[in-house]
Order: sequence, then C-alpha cells, then structure tokens
Amino acid sequence: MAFAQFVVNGLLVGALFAAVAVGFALIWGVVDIINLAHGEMVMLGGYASYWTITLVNGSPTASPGLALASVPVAVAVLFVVGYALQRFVVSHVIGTDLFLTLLVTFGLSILIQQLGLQAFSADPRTISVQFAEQSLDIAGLVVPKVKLIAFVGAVALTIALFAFMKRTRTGRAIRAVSQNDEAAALVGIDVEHVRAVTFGLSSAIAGGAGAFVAMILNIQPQMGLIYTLKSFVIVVFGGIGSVPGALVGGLLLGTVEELTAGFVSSKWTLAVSFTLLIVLLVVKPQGLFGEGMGGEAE
Amino acid sequence: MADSNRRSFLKLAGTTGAIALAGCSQQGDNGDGGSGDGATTASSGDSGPQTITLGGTMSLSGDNADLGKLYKQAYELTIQRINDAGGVEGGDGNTYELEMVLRDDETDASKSKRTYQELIDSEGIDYLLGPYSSTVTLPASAVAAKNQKPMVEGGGASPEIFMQDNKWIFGLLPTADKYALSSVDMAKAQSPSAETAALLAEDDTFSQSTAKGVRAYMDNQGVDLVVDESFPSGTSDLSTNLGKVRDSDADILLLAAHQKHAIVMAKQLESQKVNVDMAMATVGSLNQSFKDETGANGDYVYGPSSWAINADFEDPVYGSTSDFASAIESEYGNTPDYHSAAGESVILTYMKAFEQVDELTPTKVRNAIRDIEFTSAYGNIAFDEKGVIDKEMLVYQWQPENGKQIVWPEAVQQSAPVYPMPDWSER
Repeated sequence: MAFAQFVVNGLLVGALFAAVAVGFALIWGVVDIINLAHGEMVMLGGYASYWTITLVNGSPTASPGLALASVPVAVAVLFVVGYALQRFVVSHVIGTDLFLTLLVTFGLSILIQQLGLQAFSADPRTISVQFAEQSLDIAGLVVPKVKLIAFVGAVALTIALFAFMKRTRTGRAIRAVSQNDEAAALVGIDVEHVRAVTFGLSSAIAGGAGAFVAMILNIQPQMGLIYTLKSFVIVVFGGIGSVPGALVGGLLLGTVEELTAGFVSSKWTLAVSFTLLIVLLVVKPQGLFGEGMGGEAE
Repeated sequence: MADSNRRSFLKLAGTTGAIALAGCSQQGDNGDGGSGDGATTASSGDSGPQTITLGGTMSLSGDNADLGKLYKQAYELTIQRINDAGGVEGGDGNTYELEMVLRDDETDASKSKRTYQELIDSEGIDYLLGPYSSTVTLPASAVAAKNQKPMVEGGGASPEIFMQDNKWIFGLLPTADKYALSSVDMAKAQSPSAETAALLAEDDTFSQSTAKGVRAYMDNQGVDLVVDESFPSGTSDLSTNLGKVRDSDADILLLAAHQKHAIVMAKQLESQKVNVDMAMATVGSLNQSFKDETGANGDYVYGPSSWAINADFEDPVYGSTSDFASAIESEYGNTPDYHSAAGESVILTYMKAFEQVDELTPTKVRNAIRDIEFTSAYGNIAFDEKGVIDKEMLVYQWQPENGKQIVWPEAVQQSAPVYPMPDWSER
C-alpha cells in the first residue's frame, strides 16, 4: 500500500518535472544550447499565473476554473519572453564555444533572479485552489485534486508539444533546423526565427509547468536552479532532444525520488537520482530514447 | 537626545574619574579573577556609595550600528534606573552604583577583541558586557575566558560561541536548539496531552540544530518520536513525508525548516489529510506573508518567538515588559525590539548576581550567574550548563477570529491555544 502511494506521489510530481524538462530537451536538441536559465522560466511562469489570479480576484485564491485559465496566460507570456531572449541575446552566441553559451545563459539566470527579487521580494508565494474536498481517496490512496489537475495539464502540455513538432509546418521547420541548419536555410526557412520560436516554445511549456508549481507547491525568485538541475538529469535519462524521453524520464525521476523518500529518507533523493544518472551514462550513454549526443529533436 | 548624549558624556567622565581613583585606592579584593580584581569597585568617599563598573564594546558605528544603538540605549537607561532607585544592594552588605564604559568596536571583531583586552588591562574592568553579533562575540568571549572575567551578552546566538568549553560566557539569545522546546511543553500541558510526535527537518545547519535540541528534549519528556525525517533544502514537495506523519497517527508535528516549507506544510496538511493536534513550524510561520499565502490553511498553525512587546512579564526595574517598552520609547523615541530587551537583561543579570554574592569577585559573580533565576521584561532568565539562556520561547498560534495570538506560556497568553487543531473534515 505504501509502495503504491509513493509511486502515485512520484508520478504526480514527476509529470511536472517532465513538462519542465521537455522544453530543456527541445532547446538542447534544436538550438544546441544548454539553457541554464530554464528554471527561471518556470519561476516566471509561476509568477505570471500568480499575478493573473491576484489581479482578477484580489487575492491568490482561485476556483479550479480560474486557476486553469491562468495557465494559458503564463504560457503566452513566457513564449514572448523566450522568443525575445533568443532573438536579442542568445542568438549572438550560437555556434560559438559551448562554454560561452553556458556563461550567457548562466548570466541570464542570475539577472532574472535578481530582477525577480526586486520585483516580487524573496517571500514565497502560492496559489490556493479552492475545492470542497482537497483530495480524492482512490482505493485507499490519497490523490490531491490540484496535483491531479497539474499532472493532466503537464502531460497535456508535453503531448501538445509532441503533436506540434510532428504535425505542423513550424514543427517540421524546427526539426529541419535541428537536423541541418544550413540546408534548412537553403530551402527558405528563416533559421533565426525558427530558433527563436523553439526557445519561445520551450519557455512557454516551462512557464505552464511553473503555473502548476505555484498551485501545488510555492514559488520564489530563487527557485529555478533545482528545476534546471532536474531537467538536466531527466534529459540525460531520456535522451537529448527526445520529447517522449523527457516525459518518461520525468515520471521515472519523480517515482525514484518519492520511493527513496518513502522507503529510505528524503536526504538521499538527490544522491540516488544522480547515482542513477551516472550508472545510465555508463551503461547507455545515449539515454533511454536518445540518438546520442546531438541527436535530432522528435 | 542631546540631553542623553550629555548624560552619557557625564557618565563616562564620572567613570574615568572613578577608575582613576580606583588606581590610587585599591580595595584589596582577594578574588581569583586575575590582577584587575577590585579595580572596578572603587570607593568614592567614606559616606557615598561604592561603584561597580561594567564595560564592553558595541557596534556603535559600522554595519550593525542601528542595532548596536538599541543595546546602548537599554544598557544606559537600565543603569540609570537602577542608580536612581538607590543602586544595587550587594550580597556583601554594601550598596553599589553601576557605571558603564562602552566603547565603539565599529562592528569589527578584531577591534572589539583588542578593546576588551584594553578594558581589562588599563581600565580594570571585571564585569564584561558582550558586543553585538556572533562574529564579534566569539573572539570577545575568548578574551573573557583568558582573563577569567564573566561576560554576559545579548547579541550573539551562534552555538559555536558556547561550544568552546568557555566557563565565562553567558548568552541571552536562545540558540537554535531551544526553538521548539516550549511548543512541546505546551502540547504536553494540553488535554489530550501529546504523547507522540513527528519531526520533519530541513538539512541546513540551523534547522538540524533545532531538530537535535527538540529530539533530546522529547526523549527527556517522554514524548515518543514516531516520525523523524530530514529533507534537503531543495525539496519543495513534502507529500511523502506528510503521508508518513498521517500514517503514524502522531499527536503533534514539528517542522524545523524555513518559510517556503512552512507554506507547503500548511497547504499539504489538508491535501494529504493529515490531522494532528498541533502543527508547528520553527521559522517563517509567524510572518504576515505566511498567513497571506496560506489563507485558511494557515489557521491554527503554531510558531515560536523569543520575545514580544505584548507578552507582559514582570520586571524588577521597570515593573513590566510594557513599562520597559514605554520607558525606552519616551527616552529615545523608538520602539524597543528583542535586542533592546536582551540588552536590558544583560544589566539585570549582573544586578541579580551582585545581589547574591557575599564577596564581589569575578569568580563568585560568575558562579552566581550560573544559578540565577528571575523574570525580566525579556522573559524568564536562567542559563544552561553551556551558558545559553534556558529561555522559554513564546508560542504563537494563528486563530481564525483573533489572528496571531500568544498562547504559551500561560502567564502571558493572549488567548488559550485552540488545541487540538480541528480536523480538516470539520473546518
């Protein structure tokens, strides 16, 4: 029974990790950038949703409908933020040294955190979603409703991205750029625009996940780092550039962490996750679903 | 303000005079406190009262000058009040006036250390007032130990200060290991009395120190610790740990962590269907922002605080906490906070010790401080074997109708605790 409860807890929170990591995988795969400011996109998405609800309601307390309605706002705002970051900042270092891109995104992460501290203060904030009964009791398992919504939302965001990449013209253009940017340019694809759209999409999904984080946990200007770290682990788990890999990787990481917390101790969650990562890198360096380093985005 | 500056100047001038005099007329105190003995107790004439000089450094400029000022105010005003009321009735049968030499250390630890040695060597100070902040206090306390002079301080709370096997230092700020103890006392005193507890602790130094203190205390008090979990600071989801608390049927839950975890706890207690009689968070549960973010989920949550202006304790000099607060306000124009109250009690600790010793020597005064027990505007004063105040923390609870209320200790409570917290199904 305890085992089942820990797995449920893990899957519920793992879906959020997955949605965050999917965007991280996308940028890594297509734009070939390890975006160290990815966690800050989660943070900004959380605040976008928080302030939307506060503006509408006068307090960060929302009905489930309003809470859900704030997610597209966070997605839209973060798309614009991501697009602009790529177009005006990150594009200048693409194709240069890997170290330089790390440095630029790291700098962006610090800058956004500091601006966040100025704008929002260091106080943790949270959105309270109102239900008559907060949790469902399914066969003796406690399932918080807001987490279930976040789970469904996070999976939906991930699947939507997957479908977008597979079915739309822009999605195909993104995949073309990821395979060969020069050839893509030759057939008339605006590579700069496509890269910026990819960055925008990546940030948008992270922002949507951030809105859910604000509902089930809380948000703070300096919360981003742990999400960037987890994304890194998940993407290496799942395979660089692979959207399904990130989804499975996220669910797996969440489950492993909660099982560790449940049966051993929370103290060991990070150690266990990173040990798994190292083992996987030794045994299957391309990740569970990946084509190896620099593999194409699916 | 100009008036009080003038007074400080006169006091300093007087002190210097007294010390100069002391240089000429040593009283021949045969204590074991070192060569400076007796120099602080100077007779200023046959009929007049004798004087005891307290000395120390304070952050009167530099980074912590704004807080240093609060200690200076409290020291000065308390000494003045004691002297105005006739001075200290020493246990040796003499009546003493108190004087103070307070030097600026510029919030600089090495300057402070140097100055303490100077105060002992050239001013003959036997009774030391501590400086402000742990960084400055730690080296200063070493000077006190080396010269075998007692130091009572209200400005350093780092456990490191009290881990040096220093027999001469006494601190009035509770260290982290004391934070959760009075909540356990409160839960034990309620009906039904708490018998089992769950402890969730963040793995940072402060929280682990709190956890360690309360673990030992509960063991001592016969409270059974049924869940004892630590989690990394980066953990943002407490569901699995709270699930353990739910399944353990613990009577009380103590969260030793910071505000973000306090908020998650308040949210997830409901979603994880955890019903405990008391849920307490050591840090961050008493800010208004905690309540704003958690709304109704923050109701009934407890938190500790070392001092409150409206927890009215009896005070031997001012009358009570509120009288102390209004005295500081009318004299200096600012509201006192816990720094001020701790500063006041530094002086009172010496006063009480002087009243109890049959002979005025640093060692006897130090020994008297070890056994001291009294109540002041700051609360109950007594020291543990390491020299840290054995202070009963105040316990607050968020109550739906009255807001944040002091609920423990009973002597100063504003409202009775709502204990047990209502189950989630009844809210």
